[in-house]
Amino acid sequence: MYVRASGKARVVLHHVQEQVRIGIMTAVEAQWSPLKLLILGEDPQLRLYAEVSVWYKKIEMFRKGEDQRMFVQEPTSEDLAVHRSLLRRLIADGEHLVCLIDQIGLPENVEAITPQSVSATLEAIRADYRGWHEPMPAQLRERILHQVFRDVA
Amino acid sequence: MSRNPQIEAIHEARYDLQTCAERDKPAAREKLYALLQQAALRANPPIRPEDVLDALYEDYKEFRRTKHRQEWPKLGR
Repeated sequence: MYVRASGKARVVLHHVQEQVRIGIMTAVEAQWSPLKLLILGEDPQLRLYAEVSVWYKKIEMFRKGEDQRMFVQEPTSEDLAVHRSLLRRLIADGEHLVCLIDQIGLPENVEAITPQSVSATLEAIRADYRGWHEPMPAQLRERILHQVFRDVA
Repeated sequence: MSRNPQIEAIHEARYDLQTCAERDKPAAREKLYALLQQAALRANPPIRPEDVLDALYEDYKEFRRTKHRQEWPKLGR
């Protein structure tokens, strides 16, 4: 099937042909180039960094809401249900981002967001999830606290 | 639960990890896990650092509530 190239695609095609002609890109790279552009975008690292920043913003907002609904007052069952679903979503997004960072890395940035700091944040929200929604059985908790801290529990 | 300096140090380290700037996060995590590792070694049989973290979560909620109450008057100034 013949598909007429759109204006932008023609520009990209011309750019790719030019890079092959002057030897910057091999013929194989040229074949993949439009697909890479479609799937990864023009600047994959920068795009990923933007997504990570949005994730951090969501966590910041989540923490504020969590403070009000879960810590300032005793949370209702409805609070717990919403908290659980939002936290699950943040964890799923974080896992996806960590996977992408592993593949393409992050650019240097002013906030000093690194693969390590993203992983540490993900680990922290996973621990919060367990704490609120998968609490350790009371008997096991008391045994651990007694063994580890002796004078408490 | 009675106040224990080791538990307080773990709660503070956990809170720091949640609230510190990105550039400080790896160091904050290292500090928290060093404390957890130290505590986990005292259990018999040995447990994972995460188990200590999970065992302390109920107490951590109280710590967060206290922290919030302490910070509230400061915000009102």
